[in-house]
Amino acid sequence: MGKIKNSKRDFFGLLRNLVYSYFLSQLLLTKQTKAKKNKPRVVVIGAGFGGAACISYLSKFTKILNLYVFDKNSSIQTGPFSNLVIGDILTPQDITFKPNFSSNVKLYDKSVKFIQSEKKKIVFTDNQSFSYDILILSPGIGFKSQNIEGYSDENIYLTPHCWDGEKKLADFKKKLNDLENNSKILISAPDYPYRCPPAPYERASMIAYYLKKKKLNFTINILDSKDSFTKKENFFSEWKKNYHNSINWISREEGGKVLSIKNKEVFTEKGLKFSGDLINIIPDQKASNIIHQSELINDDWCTVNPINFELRGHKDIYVLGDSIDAGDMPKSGFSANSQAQALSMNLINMLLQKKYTDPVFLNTCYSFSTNERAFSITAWYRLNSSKDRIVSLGSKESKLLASDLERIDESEEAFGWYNNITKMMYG
Amino acid sequence: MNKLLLIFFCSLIFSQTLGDEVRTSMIINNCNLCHTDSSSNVENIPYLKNLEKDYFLSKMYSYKKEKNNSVMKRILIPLNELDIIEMADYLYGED
Repeated sequence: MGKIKNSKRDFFGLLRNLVYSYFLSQLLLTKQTKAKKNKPRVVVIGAGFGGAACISYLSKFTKILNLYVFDKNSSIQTGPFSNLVIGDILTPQDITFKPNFSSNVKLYDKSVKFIQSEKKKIVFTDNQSFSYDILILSPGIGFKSQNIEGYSDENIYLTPHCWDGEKKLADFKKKLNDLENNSKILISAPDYPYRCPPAPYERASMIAYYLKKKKLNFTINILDSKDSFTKKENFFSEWKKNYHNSINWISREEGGKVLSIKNKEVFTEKGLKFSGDLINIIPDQKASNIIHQSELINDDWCTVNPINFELRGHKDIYVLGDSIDAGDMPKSGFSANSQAQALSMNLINMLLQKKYTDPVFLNTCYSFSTNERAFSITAWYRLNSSKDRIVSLGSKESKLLASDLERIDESEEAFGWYNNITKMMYG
Repeated sequence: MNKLLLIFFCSLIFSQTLGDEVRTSMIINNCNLCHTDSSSNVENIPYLKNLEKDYFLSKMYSYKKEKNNSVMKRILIPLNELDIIEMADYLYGED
């Protein structure tokens, strides 16, 4: 009798559990279906080194998000290695990529006018709009052109700055090619912070390499808004070895900061006057115009939470790359790549309701002095103890008296990095 | 007392390293900025997962010990031997 009672109890218990399980599974299924239907719309603006690395990472998670990308250009010309085009070592085609993102990423070439953060909407220059749930901004850099009197993109006496991935390298190269023997070249290097700190000096090296190959004599004066620059000793050593005394550096202290330009003459802070047959002004910089036009910040640079790169004061907007104040990290393609890994990983952590991972960052920046000689600086970064700033663990440069073989090795490593990373980002 | 001093000394050394508090996966993600997570790499910067675990470990130790100033030598400065073992376990599995 007792056994029958127990069996009955077991049977009803089992039935009850089955009913519970059924309802529970239906509830979970409904939740999952709802989640699938309500996948957040993640929009990336800018397909340069920061944006493309985010896309590469996030495209593996399109089961939990919808991924859209907008860039004003249908093909991307990289800032990294653009000086090698000036040196005639690479062609513009070598550094231009038609993105071949994964098929679950929707890519559009559209130019952004501004962002309406309160409405979570992007407005384009053709006045169409697009809404987002999560916005990732990797828009590159903006310029403070007004800092130098007489400076403008239209000034016919100047060569284009070629600092923003726009396709004006051909104009630059034409002016360079037109130079005759004993030409004078002026390059003005901006004040910190700016995109790719060693690049003005690499540009001087590449101009020198090109003119030397044409067997022309020349003088390059670098007029600097700073009293020092990254990898200075290595640059000086390479210039001496390869170009003798053709490249001169005039620090700010010595009167290098450019204040104004008139025709072919440049006037500096200490009352000095320089003239040039080729004048290349690299203006002071700030966050991209998109960010200022959208009134997302009041200062020159974006302040972000360095754990997830969320823009201060703007929920669901994330910024990375050259437009942010990244603490000790320089503005470089490599830095933007590294920030993209951390941003993307913690964005996925957030969507999966997991804890954030404390990020760690790496930057390695190569500079070329000839077609086959390069040197680099490298550093790891982590968060400070209050987790509100990215700090360096100490940078290390190539040694000053490196052998020819070591310089060649580094140039091969630089090409290796560039080929690998562009293949990973753009397919 | 000597033990306490030793622990204090070790904690000072390792406070300068990367791997004790951060996830190994984050470090590997940064390695992949050059090595990438694709097997179609250029020869001089190989896809890490294609390497043998023993080869990876011996190569990393040799970079740590070498006297020149290569990029890899400099990148490995903040990583200690434990970090390297954890990276190897992450990439190739534990033995």
